[in-house]
Amino acid sequence: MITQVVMPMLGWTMKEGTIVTWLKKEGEKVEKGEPLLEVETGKIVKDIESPGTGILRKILIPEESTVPVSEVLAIIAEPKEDISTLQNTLEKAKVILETPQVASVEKMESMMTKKTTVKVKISPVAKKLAEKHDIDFNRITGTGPNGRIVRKDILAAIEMTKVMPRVREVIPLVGIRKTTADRLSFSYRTAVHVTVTMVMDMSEMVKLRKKLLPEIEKKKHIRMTYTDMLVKAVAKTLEEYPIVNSTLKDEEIKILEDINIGVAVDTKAGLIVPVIREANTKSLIDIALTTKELVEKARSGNLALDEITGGTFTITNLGMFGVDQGAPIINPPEIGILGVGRIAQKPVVVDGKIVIRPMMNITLSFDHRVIDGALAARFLKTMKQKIESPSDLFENN
Amino acid sequence: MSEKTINVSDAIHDALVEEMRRDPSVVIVGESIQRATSFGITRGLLTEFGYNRVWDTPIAENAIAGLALGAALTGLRPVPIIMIGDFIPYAMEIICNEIAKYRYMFGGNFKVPITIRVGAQGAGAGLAAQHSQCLEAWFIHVPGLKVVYASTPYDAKGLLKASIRDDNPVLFFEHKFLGSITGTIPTEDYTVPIGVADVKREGEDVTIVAWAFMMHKALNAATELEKEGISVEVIDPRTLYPLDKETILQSVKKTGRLIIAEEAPKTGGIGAEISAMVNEEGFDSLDAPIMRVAAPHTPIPYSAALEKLWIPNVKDIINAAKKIVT
Repeated sequence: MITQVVMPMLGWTMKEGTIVTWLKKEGEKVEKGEPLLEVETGKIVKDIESPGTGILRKILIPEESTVPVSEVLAIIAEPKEDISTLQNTLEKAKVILETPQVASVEKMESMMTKKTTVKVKISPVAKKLAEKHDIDFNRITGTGPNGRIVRKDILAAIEMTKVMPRVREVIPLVGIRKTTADRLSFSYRTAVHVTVTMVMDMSEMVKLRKKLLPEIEKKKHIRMTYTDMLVKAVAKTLEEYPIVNSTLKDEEIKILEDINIGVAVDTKAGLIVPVIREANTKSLIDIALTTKELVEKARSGNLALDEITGGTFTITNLGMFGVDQGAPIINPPEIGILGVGRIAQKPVVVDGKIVIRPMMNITLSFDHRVIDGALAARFLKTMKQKIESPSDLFENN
Repeated sequence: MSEKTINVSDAIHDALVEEMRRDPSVVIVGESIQRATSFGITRGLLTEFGYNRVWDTPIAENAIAGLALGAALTGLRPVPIIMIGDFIPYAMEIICNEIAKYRYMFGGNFKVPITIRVGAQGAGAGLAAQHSQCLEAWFIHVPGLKVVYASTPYDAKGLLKASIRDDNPVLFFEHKFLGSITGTIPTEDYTVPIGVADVKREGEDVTIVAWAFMMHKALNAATELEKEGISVEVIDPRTLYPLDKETILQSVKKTGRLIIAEEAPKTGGIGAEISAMVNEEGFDSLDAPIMRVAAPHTPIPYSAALEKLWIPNVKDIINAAKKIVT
């Protein structure tokens, strides 16, 4: 029996997936339910089980390729079974989809990358020349007989690339990088970003953290971070400003009941935003515990899809790298994101005197389509009050 | 160095005379060469060198070749002529199994310094299928034989002298229509080394390898193609075995395109050999498929119209070039 292996839908929002690894080789025997390949989507990697038993006869989609959900990835069949018809149909469809159509500027750039997909007619000397100069001849239209790419075409391409910087390395835009690129460029194109910054006096927070740290460390063996405290602060502020805890999608502003705070985490694989659910109802210790667990999972690549979806508002903290202030891009479909800077000792005027205080900039990027500047300012003001007199906020830890 | 203008026939005549004067062991063997009735090349040789060095034979190519072999083994340096080259098959056993292999099979104890002139090659004279062929391709397949084919008076004289002086058997091909072609040659003694090609015309876009009468057609094609902006390099291999690969490969490296033009059926021809060699040793230089301009796989027609159609011509070369130069 012929079984087609397709790109599975691993979550409701999944549109496409990237093949990370084929765990079986062509010609190898596979059992139904046995892990067959690893698929990455929306920043998580999952083992996919074989949908049938037989021989993995043909892998149609190679590793590192991104394809839409339900695209056929491979064919499993009996050893002698004829799969040529199916294979031909699938491969033809693939060639049509992948035939390059590029405009001139893109052409210049893409010619400098190298990836073979479709069989191209090219003369031996042209091919050698292209390889020597790192020209992707797949993107060149040949002017030779029957459209063959000839030396002249490569020489012209080399001329074109002379104005371009030399390429050291080409990294395919796949997986997390691709997700990040897609989501953030969508956000930047659609959300009307406005940024407001407010300086916060962190004296009380610093004092409070100093007081709580040993206690929490002793009880839970974790080191509570300023980010944990800010998650709580922003979650509580959001309770007072429901409109900021909303999404804008398809001409609808949806004010959300749950306050789920995403925390941007830098991992080797890229930016991941695990979500702390109902952060407003969690104690500081719970937030710290959850955050710690999620960050560890994010860094080891073990997050489940539901741990990175469903966020309603995001915090990104670059203070630990010495950043004073940044204007973050909104994580869609959310409408606000908080950028946190470092805590720095600064001279400030208090009661007519210059004193040294630990100060921190908090920046709110918001979608002006949903909220206005005054509201954003009030939101920050409330947050400032909470941060500068934090004892209420963390009454029960 | 002084020069003189001369045609190919006279250049061959001069080479024979000069070599016979230079080396008393050189003898000539063939049909009606004493009276020089055919093409007049051996005129005056009987008078100057006598019956001991100018041997007439019956119309028997195998006898001519056998006689030459025996003479060579006794220390002479025979130059037999197969007047109508089409009938060389009669002498194939002697040429391919004896002359070609003697030196090898006797451990080098014998030398076989024979130069077999293969005369009256080529179609276009209305002489039908048995008097019009170009048979050089047959002989490059036989180890032990060298094959040369001159297209100009200079090459004809220099190559014939080099062939006569060579201690191994050489087949020296002659084409019907080359005899009257003129050119300048030095009046002093010179040779053209066997195994060295000559770039007859330099160009950038396409290399045409052609020899004998086709070489002249290639030059004409080059002139025509230049008018259309296609720059042609014409290489005359002059020696078909051993082939001067390097000159051809260097040229293809420059132009990226190769046409081989020959006046014989395409199948199993010299063009096939050169094409395969470039494919093996110069593939990375190629910017287009190698083209062969050659004759159809049929006997040469007697009908003048069909014969004209059969012979590869300048237009065929131009078309081949346009097909691969874009």
